[in-house]
Amino acid sequence: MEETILELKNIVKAFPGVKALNGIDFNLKSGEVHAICGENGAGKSTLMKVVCGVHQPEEGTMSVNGTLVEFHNPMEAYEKGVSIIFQETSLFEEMTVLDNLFLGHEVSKKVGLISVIDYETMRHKANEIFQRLNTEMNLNEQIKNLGVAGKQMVEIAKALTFNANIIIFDEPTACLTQREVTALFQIISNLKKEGFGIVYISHRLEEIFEMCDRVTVIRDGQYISTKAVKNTNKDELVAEMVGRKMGSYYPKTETEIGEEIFRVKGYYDDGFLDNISFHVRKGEILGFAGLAGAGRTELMESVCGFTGHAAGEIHLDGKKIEIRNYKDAKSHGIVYVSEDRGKYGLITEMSIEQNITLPQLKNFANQLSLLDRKKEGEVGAEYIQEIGIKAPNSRFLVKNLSGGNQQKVSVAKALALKPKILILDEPTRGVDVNAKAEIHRIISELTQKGLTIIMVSSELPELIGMCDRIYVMKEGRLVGCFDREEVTQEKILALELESERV
Amino acid sequence: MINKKALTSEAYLGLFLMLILAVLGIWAKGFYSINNVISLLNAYSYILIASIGMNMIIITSNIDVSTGALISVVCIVIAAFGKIGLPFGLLLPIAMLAGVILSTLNGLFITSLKIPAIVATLATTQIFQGVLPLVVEGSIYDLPASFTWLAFDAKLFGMIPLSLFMCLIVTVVFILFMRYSRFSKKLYAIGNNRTGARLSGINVNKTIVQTYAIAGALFGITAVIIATAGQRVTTTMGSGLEMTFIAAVVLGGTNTAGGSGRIFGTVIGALILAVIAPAINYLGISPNWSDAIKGTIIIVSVVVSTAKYRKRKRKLCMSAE
Amino acid sequence: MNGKRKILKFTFNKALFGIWILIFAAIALKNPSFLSAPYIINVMLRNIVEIAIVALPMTLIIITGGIDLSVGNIMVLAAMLGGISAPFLGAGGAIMITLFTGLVCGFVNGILIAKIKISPMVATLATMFLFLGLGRGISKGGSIYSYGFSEFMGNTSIAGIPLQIWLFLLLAALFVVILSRSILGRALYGIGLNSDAVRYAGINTEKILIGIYTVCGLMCGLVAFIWLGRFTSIKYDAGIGFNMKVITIVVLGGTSINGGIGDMKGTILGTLIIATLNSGLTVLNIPIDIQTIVQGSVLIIALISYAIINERTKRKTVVKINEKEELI
Repeated sequence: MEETILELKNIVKAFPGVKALNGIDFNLKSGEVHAICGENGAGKSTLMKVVCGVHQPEEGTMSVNGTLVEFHNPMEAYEKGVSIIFQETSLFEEMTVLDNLFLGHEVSKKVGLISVIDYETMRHKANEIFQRLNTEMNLNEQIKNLGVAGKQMVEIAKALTFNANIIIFDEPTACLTQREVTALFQIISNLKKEGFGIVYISHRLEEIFEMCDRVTVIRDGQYISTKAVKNTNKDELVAEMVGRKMGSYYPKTETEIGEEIFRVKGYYDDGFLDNISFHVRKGEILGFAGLAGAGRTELMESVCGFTGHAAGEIHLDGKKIEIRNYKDAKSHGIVYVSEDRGKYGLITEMSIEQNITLPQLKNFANQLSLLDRKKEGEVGAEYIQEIGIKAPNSRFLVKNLSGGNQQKVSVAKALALKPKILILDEPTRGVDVNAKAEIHRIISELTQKGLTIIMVSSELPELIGMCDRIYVMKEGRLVGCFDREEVTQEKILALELESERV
Repeated sequence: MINKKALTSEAYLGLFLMLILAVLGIWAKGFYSINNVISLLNAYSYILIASIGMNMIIITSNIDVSTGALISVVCIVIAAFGKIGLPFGLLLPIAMLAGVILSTLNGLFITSLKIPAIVATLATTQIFQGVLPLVVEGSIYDLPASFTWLAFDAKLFGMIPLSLFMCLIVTVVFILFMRYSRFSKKLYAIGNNRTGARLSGINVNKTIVQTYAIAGALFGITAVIIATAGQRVTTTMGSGLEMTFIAAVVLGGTNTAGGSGRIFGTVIGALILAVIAPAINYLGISPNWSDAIKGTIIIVSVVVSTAKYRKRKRKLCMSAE
Repeated sequence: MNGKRKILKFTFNKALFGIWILIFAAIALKNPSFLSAPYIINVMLRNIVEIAIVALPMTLIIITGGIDLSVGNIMVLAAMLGGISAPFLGAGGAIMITLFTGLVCGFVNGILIAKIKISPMVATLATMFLFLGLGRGISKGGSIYSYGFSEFMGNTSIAGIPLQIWLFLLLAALFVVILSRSILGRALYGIGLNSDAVRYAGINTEKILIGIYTVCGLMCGLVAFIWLGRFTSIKYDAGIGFNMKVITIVVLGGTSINGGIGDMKGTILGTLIIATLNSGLTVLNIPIDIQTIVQGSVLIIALISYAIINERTKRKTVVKINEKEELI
């Protein structure tokens, strides 16, 4: 009954100058959830793009439901029963749910000699599918009016409109709340029962152990292993992903913690942030845990003056300060590193030094506002050295750096402002294991130099490994605080998931 | 979370139009005389036909600023054919063909060189404008009666101009086309998310060229109506019209960023623009103020729709938490 | 990589310079009278100076990814209000009113774009209509005539060179420095490349955008004097097509219409090329219409070569990155 529905043999995909995939084998049976894991850049996404026809492999064969296939675009893959739910949704925002479901394969009927779109049949089919998914959906709603989870639901439904029996999920839980994740897992397990084969790509190892039947590890474009999930464990998987046994995951060094330096009191913002008070001491790493949408980023951005409609008191060094915009925050030495470095952090088309100097151009200019490029270069070189950015020189364009090195540029940009309080929002999102360890090392070193750090992260092990104290946020409120000694993942999760507002 | 969708932007525009028409009914003596209405609708018909073409182009998140020059060229082409006595039945297809050819050139230029549409069509504007006077000395005149047949003789029931009827057909066909054709879905998809469209198996470049071609045919029809209005066709008959068409589309609620917008909005947008000039005339305001009033209306409508969009977006962000 | 880009940009302007020399030489060979200094100064440069001056702030705007379609009509409106008020308020009042009109028009554009967040093309398209219409309404469709000060601006020479050319040289130098060396210039490139990142660096992007559109309006007010003085009268439709001429020059100069790429020297070279073409073709007795075609063709050729160069550098960059990735 468990037949192999997708089989890849010796897939090779090269981009100019680099072999992204080098001899990957993979097979998927009907009625199973098969995870693929590997570091960033290991080739997971490339592999899936090959499977669904975005890329064409140089070597190797692919068979779907027993026949050899070659796909030239995702449409062909869909038609053969392979569908993918991308990391960034590939939906069309201004179009309706119905139009999105059937885009490119609209059902049409003949009226006289002309073939017209048959909305009736499409609507009927769509309703059927959403019923199967146990979801309410207004087919005439525009995609832009849906939340992340709703969009994902449309993507799943879209896969089903093709009668696909292979569905690939690429990091599906990255932006979902816990409740939405639970709902998604329910759907995946239903699909599995119906006999679908599911490929599941995720960074979160916990999910693999919760959801999946088998797991394939790839590393640097090479096939490493395939195992039944019940026969392996987290450490083993990590070791295989990284290629060597990891010693200490988070090298936290003990630092001396001084007096209270920063305090936020009774903070409100636009009805969403609700009576928030917290403080941080000099040299401390303060963590903020919470689910996506708990309001952590909103709190940090609000404290730094980005939103401009907050109420509450902020004290620095015992003195009350006023922050109306980010310029004020900067001048008080409060510096924010955004979670989305591509969108809000870096200008990737500019050089490393130009990015570093951007928030303080005035300090690199004379009275006539003319920039001193030599000074910029010196500072750029200084931070490349200090933070260990791997680049030939400070004129190197940021877009040509790896994700981890880009993140280091973000940090360098903040440090160049000589902050007192450094706020890091998801500092290791989207960087690979090695870069992660390095960023953690940098953070530790900074606190030893007396810097105070506030860190927002969705990865509990990271927070627990790095922080001296951890606040837990939920629905715009602080719901708890743990010291380093007493904290465990379970305690934080319990607080995060508790559903009633107190 | 789902907006109540109390009124779409088309509905607002429609209400606004009603208001203008009502005001005119009360204050402007003679506005609703048959002659005036017909001459207004005649002007309306050519604005609307070309605006529908422009709307399709803008939905794909492109634009065409060469339309005015293109129409000038087509006008001269059909005048040349009209001079030798070709009847309207032949002039129309010739004009459409000429429009298709020139507009397709625009499309090819944009897609093959990956040049932003506004720049590419800016360049072709200059070519179109420059070519004309080389071929023609100022104007083609003394055109025969067969040429002006559409403007003076082609009346249904003795009073409704054929041009208006053509406009009606074009509008209905395209409203249906945009709703029921698979092609139209591609336009919106491209305007929304070009990469996504390509990944969905849509040949983006081909679709864009086809869109320009279709729009070109509509520009051709507009050119016929403009050219055949008199016995003399000059080389600048279309100049500046592109801005009116773009204005009609924008007024109709289509976002120039692409991916949205409906023909029906353009129908109303074009009508508002067509009504203004005669309206202020009948209200006793100097016609010299008509452009200023048009400009004000466009600004107000864009400001209102942008503000509405932003408000809704903010609400959405909040409720998503 | 940046070094590479610099070199590329450098060769780019060099290529433009080469093209200019080529065109110049070809025309001069055909008709040596073209080479006479008075001709070059009085005809070639004087005829383009209004467009050239507005192209300077337009380059700033296009580098931020914006555009201003209303420039020609701002100029006309400013000239008209100045001309109308001159008999009542005297030269001083007229000067104030002209410049103030330009400033306000530009400010309105800036507010619509930066505060209300209407796309620059739509916003300035709409204000273009408005300014055109205001000009028409105020002048009742008739002509407005030159007055003392605008005569002076349009027709005075200092050391044998018309005043407006001195003015252009001064402004060009200023804008070159602003874009390439100043804080503002850096921020403008940043806005064109990633405006969110600039905002998150604590820079007030709204203020900057309003600022450059206002400056653009002000420059339109400035050239209003020159235009009115040069032609002695102005009608409401005089500014139609002006916007496209300005944009042609900027794009020809290598500034990307998508923002983030380009420089002021390119714009100045673009100005010289168009100026040479215009007057050169006149000297060669080539009808004005062919001039339009030639101008269009030059723009198209430039666009095609930009497309090719872009494609090639992109490919090179990809290979480079991959080499680097193995390195790092």
